[in-house]
Amino acid sequence: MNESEYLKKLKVFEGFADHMYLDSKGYVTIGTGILLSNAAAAKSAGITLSNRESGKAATAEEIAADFDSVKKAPKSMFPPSKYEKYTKLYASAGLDSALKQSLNTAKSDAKSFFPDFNSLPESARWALVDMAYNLGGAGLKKFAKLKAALEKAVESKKKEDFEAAAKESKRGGIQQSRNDAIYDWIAEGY
Amino acid sequence: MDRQAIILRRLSSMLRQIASITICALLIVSGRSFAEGADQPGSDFRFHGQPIHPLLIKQFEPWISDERPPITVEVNVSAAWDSNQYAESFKTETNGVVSVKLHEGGSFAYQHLGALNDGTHVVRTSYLGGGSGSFEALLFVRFRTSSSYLADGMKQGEQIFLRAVRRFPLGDRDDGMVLVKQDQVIVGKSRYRLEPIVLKFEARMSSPDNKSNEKEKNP
Repeated sequence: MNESEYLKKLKVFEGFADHMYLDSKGYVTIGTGILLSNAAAAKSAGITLSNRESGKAATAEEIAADFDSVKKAPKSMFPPSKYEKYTKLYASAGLDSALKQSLNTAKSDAKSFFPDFNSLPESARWALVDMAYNLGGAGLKKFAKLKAALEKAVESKKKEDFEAAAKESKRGGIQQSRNDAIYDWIAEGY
Repeated sequence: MDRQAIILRRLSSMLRQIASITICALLIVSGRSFAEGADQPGSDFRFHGQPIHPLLIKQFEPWISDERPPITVEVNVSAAWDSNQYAESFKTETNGVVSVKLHEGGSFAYQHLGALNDGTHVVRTSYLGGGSGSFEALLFVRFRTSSSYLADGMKQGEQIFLRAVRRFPLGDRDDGMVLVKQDQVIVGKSRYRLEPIVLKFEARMSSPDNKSNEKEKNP
């Protein structure tokens, strides 16, 4: 699995929309959870918004209108695509670079959690990155048994040890499909 | 006439003194009862007029890596009050969300949603480890007062404890509505639940604990 393949999966796990939507707390958001504190924030985040009908770059007034429209929309709608009808604009550029920025933080947190990160099989590396993306560095550090099991697996290189490590990766409170995917990526071994 | 006037003046003076003494006594009694009342947690889930410290509530939170009930199930609210251990500053939003940044990174927050008929408080918690996730749960807690040993380990005094009686995990960024009713809590549907879930609370049975000198408090 390479980075672009993982990014596709991350968008499914986290929810993704190329237009503004409300996150679970009612904040205006775009892409994969990029928080927009105000209408101007999209520009400062390096995101280019364009009009869906004309294809032209959006004016500041159009961006403000979309922001206000989404802000007033009903909360708690999932997936984010349900907010499309409240918008006229879409992100024509910049979303992937914003996502990659968050991904770099997750990679750094994963390496801090497991210093021997580069010795892991590639799929197990993406599993740790995914956990770090969702849990943050502090949350990932709570997985003490996973770390110990991975250390053992890296040393032995045995598939059963990777399977044992995979069992320690389960996060409460996320979709079963995401937990299943992470289990498979770690259990795969070398 | 003069004698009658003197007696009347003396009577009037005595009455004024009695009135003054009565007013002073009433002020002292009301002042004491106010002070005692301030020690008791209120139905608004405050102690000494302040929100319960979020780090105290966080004690009931099992690690995100552990799927299990709370390991710590009771905290001493009286002892935590004004302590160095719980001096970390926290923020209270206008919507009642009380949050604290964690030294380890991330943050923890709770919101008091209300109380059931039996005095069980319902609290919605969320843990953020610094990533995209906000891991939420419902916590059901009860206050109780108990005569317990104080700091010197010799004397005893009445102290207030907070006990976690149940924890219901929600989900990452769970947007389900939670409705607190008299003897039940309804957890609305979300991407984690196709249908609402009703959490019922039976009337509390007598337990061996109740035979002790402890008494459960329904603020």
